Amino acid sequence: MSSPLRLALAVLLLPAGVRAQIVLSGFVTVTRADHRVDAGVGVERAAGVLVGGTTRLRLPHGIAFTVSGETGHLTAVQGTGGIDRDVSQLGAAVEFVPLAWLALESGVMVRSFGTVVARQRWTLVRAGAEARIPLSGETIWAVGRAHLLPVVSVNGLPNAATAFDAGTGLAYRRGRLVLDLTYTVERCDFPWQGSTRRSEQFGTLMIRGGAQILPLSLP
Amino acid sequence: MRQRATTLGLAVVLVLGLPGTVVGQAGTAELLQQARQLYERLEIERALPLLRQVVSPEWPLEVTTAQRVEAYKYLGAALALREKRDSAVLYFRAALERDPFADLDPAQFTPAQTAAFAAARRLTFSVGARPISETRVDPRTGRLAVTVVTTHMAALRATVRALGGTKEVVLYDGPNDGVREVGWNGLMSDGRLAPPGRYDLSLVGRSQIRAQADSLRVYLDLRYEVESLEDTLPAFGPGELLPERHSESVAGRDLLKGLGVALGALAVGSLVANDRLGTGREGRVMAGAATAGGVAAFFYRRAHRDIPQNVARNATRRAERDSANVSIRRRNADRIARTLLLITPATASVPEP
Repeated sequence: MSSPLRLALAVLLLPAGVRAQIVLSGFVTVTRADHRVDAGVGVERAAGVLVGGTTRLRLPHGIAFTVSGETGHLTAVQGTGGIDRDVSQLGAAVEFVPLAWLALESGVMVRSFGTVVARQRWTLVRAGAEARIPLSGETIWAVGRAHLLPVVSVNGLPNAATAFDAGTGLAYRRGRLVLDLTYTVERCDFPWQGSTRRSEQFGTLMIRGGAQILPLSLP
Repeated sequence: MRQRATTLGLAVVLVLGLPGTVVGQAGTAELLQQARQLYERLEIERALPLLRQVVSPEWPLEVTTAQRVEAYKYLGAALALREKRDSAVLYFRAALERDPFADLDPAQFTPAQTAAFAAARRLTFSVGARPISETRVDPRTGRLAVTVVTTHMAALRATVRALGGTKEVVLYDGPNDGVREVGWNGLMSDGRLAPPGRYDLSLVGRSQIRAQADSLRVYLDLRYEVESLEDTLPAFGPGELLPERHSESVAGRDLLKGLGVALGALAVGSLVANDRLGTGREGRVMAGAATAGGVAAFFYRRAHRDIPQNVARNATRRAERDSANVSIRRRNADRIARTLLLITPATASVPEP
């Protein structure tokens, strides 16, 4: 029996009260990404669109798991000296909601930048929080988030000395439907190497749309 | 003379030796007992003075109505034996006037005596009622039974009425001769439970032999015995329900939140981003979207101040409260339906003039 089937069976065997608190949601993401690198020879820029998806499983007691993946092509911005690159990233995160408006998050993401000359693999571990406050009743929410990235490992480079991300956004929810618009800047500063210091920045403006799949009845 | 001295001596001894009322009743009872024994030994001449002592106004000891009636009966019976029928009838009438329930047992008295008593009945008219003891009445199944009497054939009307009230319940209205039991189930004439309070049971009799009438009132106290009732849940007071409308300031706050998100987006671009790297247009796009969202929320909130979730929750709470009150009222109604009436005599019978 496959793992997803086993998971589905396990969910079905749970008591109805618990089952009603388990929410499975699926999202499609479209992200406008802006990748900027300064390795001591000027700023290289590449921008493009990533497409992906996210699955979120919310369990009782305010715990949720999220798995996401995105891929796309970033085109070098003319005049910046960069080259085109393909970006793929896969992430997993766990979330705990101690307060209705606050979620504590921690997760790991694996990101790959592929160019015609090399493939660079990133591993990012992040921990932080996201605040959601209602903007218009229970329909539109204002979102603010910030994470520290204590571990940013890149092949061929030393680990990042300082890395964090921050973002704001709006979230819209009506019935089962969810629509988010989030702007995030992820900044990684690497240790000085001689007189140069490498800095990379990954800015995203993401539209995420999806729906609650389980339970069938609304919470 | 010697007999009189003896009885007076007995009375004095008893008066000196026992408490007042008890002494009086005991002395009278002794004398009556002595007179009865003499009567039963047919020593009528010796019994008569003792009986006359009891009914005499000069008798110093207390005499109960029952003792006086007993004395009159034996006086009448003794005189009947001595063939003094008119005198016998007079004493029997005296007995009947004091106690309409008075009677002679045919097994103990001669036909001449009972005939004289019957004649006294025909000549005397009075109505009476036995004392009512404390009674619990379940209006659905039971009733208060009152034994009433007329000394001879009469038209009798028995009614119950709240003191000071106008509505009366007719317990009996018809001919009667002798003893009869009338009953009251505790309901008024409109079928409702009689409210607690004082009632008078009125007996009015009109002789069908003589142009005489007599009446009697017995006062009753009526109380409810009902299981304690549950209080219904009170209406929700201010602050107990969720607000169902947003205040005027909420729209403004929503606008500020949207602008806050916009500022946050610009701050992320300017404060978080690396100065050397700069940022793209994404932050400004986000700021514009957040500003638009805040403005939209402002106008939406001004137009839609209701809070549907709270309205629904309040409606649910109100429905739950109403449902609970319906149950409480039903249980209370059941308890009231099981109400028992406690009827107690308020005072002794009060003969009307």
